[in-house]
Amino acid sequence: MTLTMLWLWATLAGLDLVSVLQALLSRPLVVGAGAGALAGDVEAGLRVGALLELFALDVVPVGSSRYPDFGAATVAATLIAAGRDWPVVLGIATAAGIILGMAAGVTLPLTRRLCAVTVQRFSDRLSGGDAAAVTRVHWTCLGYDVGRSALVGAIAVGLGALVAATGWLPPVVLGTALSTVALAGGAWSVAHGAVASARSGPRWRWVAAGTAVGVLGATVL
Amino acid sequence: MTSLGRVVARLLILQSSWTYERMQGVGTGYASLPLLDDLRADPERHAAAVARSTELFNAHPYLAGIAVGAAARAELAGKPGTTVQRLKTALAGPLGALGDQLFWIGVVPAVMAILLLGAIVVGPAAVIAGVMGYALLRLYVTYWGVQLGFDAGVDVAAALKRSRLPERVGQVGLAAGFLVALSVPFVIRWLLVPGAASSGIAAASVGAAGGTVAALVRVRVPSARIITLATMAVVLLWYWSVS
Repeated sequence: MTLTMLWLWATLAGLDLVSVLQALLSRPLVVGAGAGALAGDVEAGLRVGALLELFALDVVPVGSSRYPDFGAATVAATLIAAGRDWPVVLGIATAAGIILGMAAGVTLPLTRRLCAVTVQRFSDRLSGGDAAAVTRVHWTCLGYDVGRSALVGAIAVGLGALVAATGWLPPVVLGTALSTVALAGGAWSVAHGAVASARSGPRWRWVAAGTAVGVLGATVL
Repeated sequence: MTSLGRVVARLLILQSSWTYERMQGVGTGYASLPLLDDLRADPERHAAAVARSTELFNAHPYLAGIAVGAAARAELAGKPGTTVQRLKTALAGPLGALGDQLFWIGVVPAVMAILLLGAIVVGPAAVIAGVMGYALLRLYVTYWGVQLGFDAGVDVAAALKRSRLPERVGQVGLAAGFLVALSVPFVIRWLLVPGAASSGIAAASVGAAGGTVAALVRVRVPSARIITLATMAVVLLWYWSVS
C-alpha cells in the first residue's frame, strides 16, 4: 500500500514537471516531504529533499532545454534514507537521486518525439482546423506523459524499495564522507545558479548581502 | 463552467503536447477552443481560426494565456488571419522572456528558499502551506493573463505594459537572489554531519567557491551533478584502496 502511494506520488511529481500544473509538486523539497510522510520518516524526506533542492535550484526548465526530472528520483532517494541514520545515508541517497533524476530527464525528449509522431499523423486535420483532432492529439500526448511518469515512478520506487529492503548501510566513515561530498556538491550547484543569474546587473549585491546575512544568522542562531 | 474557466483549466495542462516542431502550438489550440466556440456558426471561419491557434507558438506556460486570450479576441473581432498570426508571433518572445525571468528565475527560487527555511524551522507544514499558496498564485496568474488578453485583443502589448508586470521582474529577481543566498547557509548547517561539522563547513565552502568561479569564468565546466558524482567515485575508490 505504501509503495503504491509512493508510486502515485512519484507519478504526480513527474506530471507536474511539464504537463500538468507546473506548481512546485515536482520540486525535490516538496516531493521529499511527501515521500517522507508516506514512508514514515518525514525528517529523512525533508533532508534528502533539501539537499536535492540545492541541485535543482541551478536548473531553469525552459521548454526546449534538457533538464533532470528530480520528482521520482527524490522518492527513491527518500526510500533509501527513510528509517536510517541520515548522516550515513544522505550521500548515497543524494547520489541515487542525481543519477535517477538525470536518467529520468532523458525520457522527456523521447516523450516529445512520440508526441511529434502523433502531431504529424494528425497534421492535415490540425491544419484544416479540426477541433476534435486538436483535442485528441492533446490528450493523447498527455497520455504519453502519464505513461512516462508512471514508468519512471515505478522504476524509481522499485529501485529505492530494493535498496531499502537489502538493509545495506555504508560503513560510517564512507557514508559520512559521501554525505560531505554531496553537501559540497549542493553548495557548488546553488552558488553556480545564484551567481550565474546575478552576473550582470544589481542582483549580485543582493546575493552578496543574502550570503552575509545567512552566514551570520546560521552562525549566531 | 464559463468559457474563461474552461480556458484556464486547459492552460493548466498546456504543455502536455509540447513538441520541437510546434512547441506549445497544439496546447494553445486546445486551450483556445472554448473561446472560439462563438465562431461555430461559420464553420469555415471557425476552422481557419482553430488551425491558426495550433500553429508554432512558445511562451512561458504561466503567461501563454495572454496570447491565447488576445488571439481569440482578434479572431472573434474578425481581424485578418495574418494579423492574428503576427500578433502571436510578436507576443511569443516577450512573454517567454518575461515569464522565465519572473517565475523560473525569480518567484520559484524565492519561494523555494522560503520553503527551505520553513522546512528547517517549522517542518512539513510550511512546505504544504507554501505549495498551496503557490498553486493559488499559479491559478490567479493564468486567469489574469487570459482575462487581460481577451479584454485587450490586438492592443494587448499596451495592456501588458499598463499592468506593470514587466516592472516586477527586477524586484522579484533581487528578492530571489537575496533569499536563495540567505537560505543556503541555514540548509548547510542543518545538513552538517554531527561530529564532522568542521569538515562539512570546509567542503561546502570549497563547493560554493567552486560554483562561484565556474559561473564567473566563461569556460564550460561540467555541472555540479557530474562533479559531485565524480568526486563520490573518487571517495569510493579511496575507501576501497585503504580498507
